[in-house]
Amino acid sequence: MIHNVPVLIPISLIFFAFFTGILGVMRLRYSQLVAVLASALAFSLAVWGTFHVLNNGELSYSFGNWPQPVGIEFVLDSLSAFMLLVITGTGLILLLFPTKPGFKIEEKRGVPLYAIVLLLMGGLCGIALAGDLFNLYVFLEITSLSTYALVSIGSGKAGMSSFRYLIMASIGGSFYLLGVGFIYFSTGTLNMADVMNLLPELYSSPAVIGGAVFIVTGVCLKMALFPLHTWLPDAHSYAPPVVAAFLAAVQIEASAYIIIRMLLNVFTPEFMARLLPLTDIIGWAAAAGIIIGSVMAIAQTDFKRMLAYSTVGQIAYVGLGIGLANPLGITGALLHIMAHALMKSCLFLIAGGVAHKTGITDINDYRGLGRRMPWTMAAFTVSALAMIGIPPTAGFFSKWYLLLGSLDAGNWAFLAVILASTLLNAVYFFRLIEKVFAPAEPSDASARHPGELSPRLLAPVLVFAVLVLVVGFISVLIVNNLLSPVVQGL
Amino acid sequence: MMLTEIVNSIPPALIFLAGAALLPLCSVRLRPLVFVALPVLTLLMIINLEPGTAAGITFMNLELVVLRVDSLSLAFGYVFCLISFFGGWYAWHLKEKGQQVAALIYAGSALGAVFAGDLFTLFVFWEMMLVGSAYLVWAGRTRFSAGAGMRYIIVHLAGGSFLLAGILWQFAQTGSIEFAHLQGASSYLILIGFAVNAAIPPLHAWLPDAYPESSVTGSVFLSAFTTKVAIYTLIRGFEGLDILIWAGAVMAVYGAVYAFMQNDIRRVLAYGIISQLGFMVAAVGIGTPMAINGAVAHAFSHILYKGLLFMSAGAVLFATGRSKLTELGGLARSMPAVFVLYMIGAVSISGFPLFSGFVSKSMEIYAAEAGHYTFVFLMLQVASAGTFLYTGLKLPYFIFFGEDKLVPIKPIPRGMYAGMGLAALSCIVIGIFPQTLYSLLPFQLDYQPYTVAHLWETTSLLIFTGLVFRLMLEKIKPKPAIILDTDWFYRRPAGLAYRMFVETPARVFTRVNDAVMQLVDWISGIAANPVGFMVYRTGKLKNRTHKAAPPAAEPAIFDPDRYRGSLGTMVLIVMAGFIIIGLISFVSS
Amino acid sequence: MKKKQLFFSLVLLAVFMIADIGFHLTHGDGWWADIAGFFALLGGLGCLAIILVAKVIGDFWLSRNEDYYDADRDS
Repeated sequence: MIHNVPVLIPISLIFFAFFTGILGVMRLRYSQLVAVLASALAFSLAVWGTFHVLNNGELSYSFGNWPQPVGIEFVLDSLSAFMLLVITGTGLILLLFPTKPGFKIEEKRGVPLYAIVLLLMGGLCGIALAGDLFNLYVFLEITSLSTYALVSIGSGKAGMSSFRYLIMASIGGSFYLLGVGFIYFSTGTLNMADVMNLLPELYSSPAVIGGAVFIVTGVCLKMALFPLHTWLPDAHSYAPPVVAAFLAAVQIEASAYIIIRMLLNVFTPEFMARLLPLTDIIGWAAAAGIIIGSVMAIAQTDFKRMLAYSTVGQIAYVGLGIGLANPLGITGALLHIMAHALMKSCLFLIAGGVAHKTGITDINDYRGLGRRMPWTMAAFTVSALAMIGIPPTAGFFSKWYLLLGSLDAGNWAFLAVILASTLLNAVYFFRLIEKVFAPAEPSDASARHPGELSPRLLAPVLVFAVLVLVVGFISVLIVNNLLSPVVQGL
Repeated sequence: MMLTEIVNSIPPALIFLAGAALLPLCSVRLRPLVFVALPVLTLLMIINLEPGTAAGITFMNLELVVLRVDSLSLAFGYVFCLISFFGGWYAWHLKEKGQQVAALIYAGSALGAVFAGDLFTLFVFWEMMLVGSAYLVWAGRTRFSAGAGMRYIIVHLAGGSFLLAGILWQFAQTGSIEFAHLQGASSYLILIGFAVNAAIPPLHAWLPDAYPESSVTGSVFLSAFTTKVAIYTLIRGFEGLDILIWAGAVMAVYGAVYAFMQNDIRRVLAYGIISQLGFMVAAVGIGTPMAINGAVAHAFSHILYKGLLFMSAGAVLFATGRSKLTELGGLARSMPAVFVLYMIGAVSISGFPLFSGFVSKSMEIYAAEAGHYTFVFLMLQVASAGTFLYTGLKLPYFIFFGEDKLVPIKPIPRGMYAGMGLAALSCIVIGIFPQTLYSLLPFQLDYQPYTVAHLWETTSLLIFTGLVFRLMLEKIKPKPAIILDTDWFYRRPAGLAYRMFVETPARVFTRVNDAVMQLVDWISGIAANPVGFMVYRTGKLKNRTHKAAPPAAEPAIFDPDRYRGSLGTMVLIVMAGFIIIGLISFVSS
Repeated sequence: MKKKQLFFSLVLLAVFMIADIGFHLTHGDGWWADIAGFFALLGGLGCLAIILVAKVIGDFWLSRNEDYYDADRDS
């Protein structure tokens, strides 16, 4: 049974997607319940799989029992297990958030909302588990299609943003496919492990180089790495809160995961070192992205837009870790994936909850909220401190590894960029913290709707905030058990 | 014994931090009680700590020492508990949960920092101190508090970054994060980090910027912790560093001169902190056992009498709503108790015999003399005279005497009296029984403060300071002005920097985006409906006032929204770039 | 008034100096220990110096209106 886990997770999610879709036509509320159950199931499977991997090593499942390298393979190794935990765990908590504030859906029965969400999660898990280049593309597109639909549910310019996002992400996907095509022509196989073995002989082939460039560039676009990030601010600001959380916390990370996977298991670091300074390019682009993202975030007045630009900066940290291409750097990148997933989700849920209760979306209107919503704002403070990188939150530990990685590589510029960005992040987050904890005036925007968020809104927020702290404390466990095996090859 | 074993393996900071988490759950009446009980508990715990203990845990491949006990850390631990206790009484009336929690986090992290045996633990607590103290600055809610708090945070984060960079560098080079005497290139970065918190000029401007804007009760805590933890870390890591001697001497005089010029009571006291820190920094630099003893003794007494001074200043602020010398006067009649308590603090800091300053500051000066640092010795003496001048003479004269501005006062809470009284008592007890302090010092030396020579020197110094003050009184009236300090360099250009580095790039990006969006929309418009598009365009050209929506075939083309993401064009440009790179590399391989 | 105070101070100074010489009250072995009434002079002149320097810096150079920093933009 355990051997079926790698395929069970995505397949079950997709199955439940259809099931929920049907239910959603009848009753939106039940569909949320089913979705929660489905993601809980996926999470349990992920946990089970993780333990198995920790004890016994990697798991692989061949679709239809076609042997390698002919068949499609799903692989669960440490890296996949880690990503699955992040995806299913975050997804589970996000799905607990009430529908109306989370998705800004009026009780439109016709929208099979949770079906699409489950499809999204299934696609993401599939990406994490794919052992095959084309299979990964399939799941990548499943993911993307779901996100286009979900983003367009939002209000205001959501439709337009979704359209733009669609165009750009499709370009990214096409590039990826093109790259895979080149690889296939050169090696004759689509299986990742196989490609890794066959590649060294083909280093001189221009097709392979071209393939690598296309693949990485395409995925970088989906990852919103500077300067390919321009679709992100719109998509994330106008999407409904939970959707934005899924995007920023999970989907972007999955794209980053793809690059890491490519780096580690397909195009080995040796390839990068000998032939193509791709990791260097990624690293420097990321460094720019960190600064630009943070600077643009400072300039924003809309809370969600601020978070969106912040995401550009944060995912660039992951890019920086990838760019360093040493064990510490990759560890930092992966840890940051987890940390960011938690922090950003918390923040977007807060944005949604506050907007739902008080209608406030502009950061200047956040004045005095600390008194009126103490628990929510406490969670906000924790997440904000984590984004800045203050110990003992999770955000600090990922930065620690990134800094060590930069030192290891002798890259003082990256070190300075990370430290400088801490200050930049502090500017826009502490500015908001200060507003939040200012005394409550009757003239505040929030005065008309006093009171804490309702428990159903508050619970997921608090869970994320607690996790931010907990993950910080247990980060060493995560690193030692899950992440070290991943980076050993470097 | 089981209890001592437990006690010796947990950092005492945890009591405060646990208290911070639990305090919000207590009822309003219960909170001050809990707040005051925590330092007592911690003190009991600290008394049971055995010197030489080092409790470690392994974390992230680092050997952390979360509890390192020796006479140095114990001394700081004791006084931190004392001031928290006094401060808790002083703040008894406080209903605001936020300040109480922040103060506990702050004090707890300070305790954690002084008992930390390795740099990582130190850094964690260092940053946590920032969070607690920043809140206390904001809590002041003056019109300058918000900005001062932000600057406080940024400056300290920057200092913390230097600290972190130095720690990492040292770790990368030596594989060790042990917190002992620091050397090498990495130590300079760490030194900068410590120097920011120790308010060594030119990195000191945050202190007089932020402390006067903090809350009445918050300022008491602020004055006690950040800077003294920094002194502790300097002693630990940099004792005997020559440059500190001069930095300290200059600091002492600089602080005194600036203190004298200020109009806001708490700003006078803030610069006074810098001046006093100068003594300690210089002593750290001298590095002899007598000097270190002096630094620790001075830090110990300084926490107590500076706390008392901030408490009294806070009481005046609370009662009158004012803190500027130009707006105060004649309060001796209406606030006699505060006056007396203030004066106890003032004479302590000035080094009057029978008070704590006399038995602690002098050790540092004596060490300077013994080391033949004559010029430093003289500077410190002048700074001492200056201390009396601005704290013991100018400040009380213009608050409690001088021109009676007939300021209306409201009664101050009894808790404030309790806090001040306890602090005053401590100053007197240490002054009369110096052995109580001396037994806590790192080195057991034979120092007798009450010698004829010392008494004579101090008395002459003080009396003539007083005389000069009396003579020059007319010329020393306070003015309602601020004095520029080194923070001018980052405050004055702040608006400009913001425009340059934030607004302009944002504007540039969006202009580019707008232009590209225009182009893309034209392209997509033409592609979607060539005929209709041409018709629309020519129609628009003919009719300049045409504002209606374009024909249904192309919705929302000329959407003038800003901050729009660009479409494929930008991507294509970059793709092309990558392709070129790819081509170049394959051609060259 | 002023003249009387000044006179009184100088007298006091003389007293201190004589006491110093007479009773060898100051200890220490630097060049300064031999100056009579050294600490009295140090206190008086030192303070004078502080006051004068403060005046010069304050009134002629660094003093500004309280609103100088324009009631602060953040950062």
